[in-house]
Amino acid sequence: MRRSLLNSEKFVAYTFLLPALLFLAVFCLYPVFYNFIMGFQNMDMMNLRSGRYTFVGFDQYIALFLDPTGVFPRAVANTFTYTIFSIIFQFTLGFAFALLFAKRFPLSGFLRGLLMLAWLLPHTVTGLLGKYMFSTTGIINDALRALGLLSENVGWLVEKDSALTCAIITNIWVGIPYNMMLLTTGLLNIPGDVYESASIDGANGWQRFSRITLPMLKPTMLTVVVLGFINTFKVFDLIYVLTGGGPVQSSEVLASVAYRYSFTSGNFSKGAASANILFIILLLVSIYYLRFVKTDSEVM
Amino acid sequence: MKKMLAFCLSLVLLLTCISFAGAEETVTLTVMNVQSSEDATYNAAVAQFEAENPHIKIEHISTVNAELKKQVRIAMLAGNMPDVIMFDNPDYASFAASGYLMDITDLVSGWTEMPTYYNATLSAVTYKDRLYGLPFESNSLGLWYNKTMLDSLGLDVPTTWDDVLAICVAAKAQGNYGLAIAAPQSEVATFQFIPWLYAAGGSIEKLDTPEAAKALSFLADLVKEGYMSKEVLGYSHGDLMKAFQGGNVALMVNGSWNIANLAENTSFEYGATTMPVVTEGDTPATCLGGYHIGITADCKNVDAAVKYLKFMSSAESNLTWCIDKGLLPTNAETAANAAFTEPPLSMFVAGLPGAIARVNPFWPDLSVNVYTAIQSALSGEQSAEDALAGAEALNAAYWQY
Repeated sequence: MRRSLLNSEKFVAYTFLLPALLFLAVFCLYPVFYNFIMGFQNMDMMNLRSGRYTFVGFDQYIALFLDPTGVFPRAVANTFTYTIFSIIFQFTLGFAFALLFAKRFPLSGFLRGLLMLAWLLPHTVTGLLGKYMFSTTGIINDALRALGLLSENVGWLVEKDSALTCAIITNIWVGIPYNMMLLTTGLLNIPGDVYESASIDGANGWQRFSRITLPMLKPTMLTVVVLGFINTFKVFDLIYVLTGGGPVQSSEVLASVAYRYSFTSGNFSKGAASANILFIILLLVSIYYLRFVKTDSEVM
Repeated sequence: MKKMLAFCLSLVLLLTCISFAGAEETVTLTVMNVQSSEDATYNAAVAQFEAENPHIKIEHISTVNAELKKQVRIAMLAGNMPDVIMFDNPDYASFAASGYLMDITDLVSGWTEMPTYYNATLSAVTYKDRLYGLPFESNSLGLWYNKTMLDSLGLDVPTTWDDVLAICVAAKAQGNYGLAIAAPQSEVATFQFIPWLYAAGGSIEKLDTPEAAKALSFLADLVKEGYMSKEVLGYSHGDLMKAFQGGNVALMVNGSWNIANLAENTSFEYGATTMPVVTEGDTPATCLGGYHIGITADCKNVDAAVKYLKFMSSAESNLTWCIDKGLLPTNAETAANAAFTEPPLSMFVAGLPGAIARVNPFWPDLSVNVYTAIQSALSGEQSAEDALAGAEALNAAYWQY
């Protein structure tokens, strides 16, 4: 019995899997698990060393939402606003560019490469660029004044009503190439003869787009949106550089709040709780995505 | 034969023990600070320290200003704290209160240099009457002025708030800004507000007072009237510097550490003076900044660490360090050096003995509420009174430590 177990193919397979499983457990599962434990405790700077922190159930989560400054609910709302508007515009503009570059025209390869540049920049660099462009003396003010849309310069990043919008616009700008690239790949994967036979059957341009391109691109589109959602929802560096969450906490997002609790105030459990909420939202999106990918591949 | 061998062996062992005990064992101190590993001034100081103490080796863990706090918190959680650590003024009390810093009161009590430290710098490393480190460097805020612009406006270097206001009015008439401060959503805003707060007779410990409101509404009105750019809500000290060097701001509240930068990159005449006062003759108020060094609670080589602290914080080291970096002395002896008796540095040094140190174990938390109130008033969202009352409601409990 024992011998047969040792010799069985399954056992060998699991042995090969073991290093990867161990790696995942130590570097992926354990930190997440530890973070969840911390979120249920009251660990902070003052009791970390003495070890006199205890389990307090959901107190940290309740405290986050009942925070008298209201910063946490605002951060949740901001994160969703930031993500949803970013995705909508990144996707539609990225799609438009993908369709444009699916056509062959002079310099199309060069121009597409040029568009990719924005995506290659680190977010902190993008943040600094945005900071200069949106400043009172920046190019955005100059442009708007030249167009006659503005009578005097506005400090876009220091106005409560526009700070988050500036962050969204900056993020849309860097996100377009990413969407464009994945969608272009999707478009190129649609066989040309489908379009050909449709043309022969008399389908016009719009019909070919709505009846062939859209349905056949659906899996790619969903992947782009879901991955974009996950990437955008975690935003930290762009906000940190661009507005620092200000003015008056008007552009705080979940990750920046979690960072502030953990590293500025040393309120580790509150920071963990905020990070856990971020994590759970992303986990739900990921589960939905994985289920979609699974059913989709079964159909295909 | 066997006995003989055993005897020889034990003799050898005994001798090696004796010889080890004779030479002092080399100890390694891990030191975490914000000095770059290529900082020539710091490295020279370390080299000198190691030459004077051949049995002590310094292992330098270098980080940057913005990263230090994060690195220390990670070390705390991971349980691998360095032996010696450097902290910024506003974070010091919270680390002392956390138990991660060693009470060194008795270890340095007899040291001849202790009496030379300013009370202000010592208060920054004192928590509940015990000493948790030694001051390493100081900085504070002063008022930098664009001399060329003041001359063209026909106005003198300001000493009072009224003077500042007069300059603001005149500068605006020429299409310029009168004053610039840094009031971003961070500790910087609190640091910049404290001089105004204390000049008006207010205190950070109680914010819902007419004095505090006077200070905040003075600054908020400057923004409202267009004397100060709203951009200050996003300025770091560096951004502030660039705005001043742009040449269309008459006055700037900034630190002495900019001296080298100003000398290199400024195209107009400038100077520094003490922070403005409300009534002629008042003592100018300023906020104490700067780093301090302490020993962590689990340090194994306390003697070596104390030696390092004393060496780095001594008047002699302090002098070299401050001159090289444009920083301010931590003690009266260094300050007496000719380097600090001439303007502009003398203007900053003058405020040091009475500078306000930011001491509270919950400072990082309470400061969030202070700078949120500052931003709220400066952006015109709330009146100064309302913003401060809101902050006071949240902060009152923090002062009951």
